[in-house]
Amino acid sequence: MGIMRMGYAHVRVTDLAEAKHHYASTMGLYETLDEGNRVYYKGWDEWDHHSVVLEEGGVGLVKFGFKVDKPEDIDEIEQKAATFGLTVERMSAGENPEVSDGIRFTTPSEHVFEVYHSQTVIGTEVGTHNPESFPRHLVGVGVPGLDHALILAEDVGTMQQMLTDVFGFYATERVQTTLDDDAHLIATWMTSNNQIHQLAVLEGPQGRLHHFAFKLGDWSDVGRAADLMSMDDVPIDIGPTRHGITRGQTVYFFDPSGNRNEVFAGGYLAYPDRPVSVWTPEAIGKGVFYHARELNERFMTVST
Amino acid sequence: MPTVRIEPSGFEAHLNPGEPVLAGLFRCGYTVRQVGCRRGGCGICKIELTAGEVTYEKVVAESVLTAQEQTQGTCLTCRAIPVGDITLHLEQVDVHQAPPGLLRYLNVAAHPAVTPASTPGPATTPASTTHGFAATNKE
Repeated sequence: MGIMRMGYAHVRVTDLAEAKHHYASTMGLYETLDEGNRVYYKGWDEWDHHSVVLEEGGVGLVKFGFKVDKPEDIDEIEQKAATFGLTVERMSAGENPEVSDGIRFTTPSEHVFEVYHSQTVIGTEVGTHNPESFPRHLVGVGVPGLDHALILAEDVGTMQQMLTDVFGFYATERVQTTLDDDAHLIATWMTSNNQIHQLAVLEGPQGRLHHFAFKLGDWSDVGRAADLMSMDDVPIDIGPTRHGITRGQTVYFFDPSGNRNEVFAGGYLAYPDRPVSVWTPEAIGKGVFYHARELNERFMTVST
Repeated sequence: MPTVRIEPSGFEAHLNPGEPVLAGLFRCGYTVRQVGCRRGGCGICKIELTAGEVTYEKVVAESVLTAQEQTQGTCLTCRAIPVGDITLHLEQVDVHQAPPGLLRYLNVAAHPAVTPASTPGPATTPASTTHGFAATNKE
C-alpha cells in the first residue's frame, strides 16, 4: 500500500535540556532513547520506537521519515523517485537507531525525506490484550502521537507532483490563485489514506519547516492543551481555533528553540475520490483561521 | 535595573535584571509589531541596537543571528538581555504604548522601591499626575 504515514520528524533544537522539558513534560511524549546530543520520543498511542527526534545544534528540520507497509514498497518508491529525477541513496538498518533499512533523498523543496519499512516495536502501556482506553498517568498534554507537518517550498506545484508520483499521495485541499485550470498553486494538503493530511506544502523559502503537529482527540483536548501551554509559559502563535481547511481544531505554539508545533484534532475523513476543496486568496484568512478570518503576520513569516 | 529607550518615539521601559528585552517591553506596556516565536528561532524580532550592550544567556543559532549581525548592533530582542541601559531604533509605526493610566502601573512594576506618586509619568502625558494612578492613590 506504499506510504502509511509520516513516521518521524527529526528537528534541531538550540538547547536540548529545555527542549526535553517541552516535549516530555509539556507535550507528554515518552523518551525512548537518549544518545547525548539526540533524544528520541514517542507518543502514548504509538507502538514504534520513536516519532520525534531532537538534535542539539541550530533550529529547523533535519529530516522526515515516512513508513511504508512492506520492504518491497521501498524498491517501488526508489524506482519512482529515480523516474521523477531525484537522487536516491540507500540507507542501512541502524543508521537511525531502531529503524530499518530504506532510502533517503532530498526533495525539490530541499527537505530530506527517508522512507523505511519498520522500526523496533516497543508497544504501548495499554497493550493490545483487552486494552484500556488510555494510560492513567499521562504527563502534560499527553499527546497520543505525531500527526502531520507543513513545509515550505518555492515551487508547490513540483512538490505536489513529486508527492503524487513518488509517494502515491493525493491532494485533499488546495489554495490557488483562481479556479482556472492554469491557476498558480499556493498550497496543497496531501495524504495517502483517510487521514486528512500527512504533509502540507506552502509557498515559501526552500528547506524550511513551518510546523509539525501532534494529534489530539477533540475540541476539549485542544482547549486543555492551550491551558497547559499557559501554565508552562509556552508562546502560543494562535488558537484554540478551527481551520477552514481540513476543519481541524488547533493550537499553534513554539517549542523552546522557536520551532512551531501544533496540536490538531478532528478533520474529516479523506478519500481519493472525494472532490478536492479549493480555496482562493479572498477566503484564505477563513481557510487557515476559521474564526479570526484573518492571517496573522507571524503565521506567514515565522519558519525555522 | 536596565532601562530600554526606544528612538525616535522616546519610549522607556524599566526592565528587571536578567529580563529579555522583548518580554520586558511587553510587560512594561509596549506592543512591538514584529514578534515571532519569542524563542530565538525565527529572527523576526531583530531590532537595531544604537547604544549600549546586550548579552545572550541562551544559545542562539548562527542561522538566526550571525556573529556579524551581533557585532554590527543587531539585537535579537526575545533573547537579548541588556547589560546596563540600552537604546533601540524602532520606527514609530512598529511600536505602541498602552494607554497612559495603564502604562504607569505596568512600567513601575520593576521599581518596587519607587512609589508611583514619585514616578514621573510618560513624557507624552505631562498631566498624568492628576488623572492616573498617583491621583487615585491620594483620594
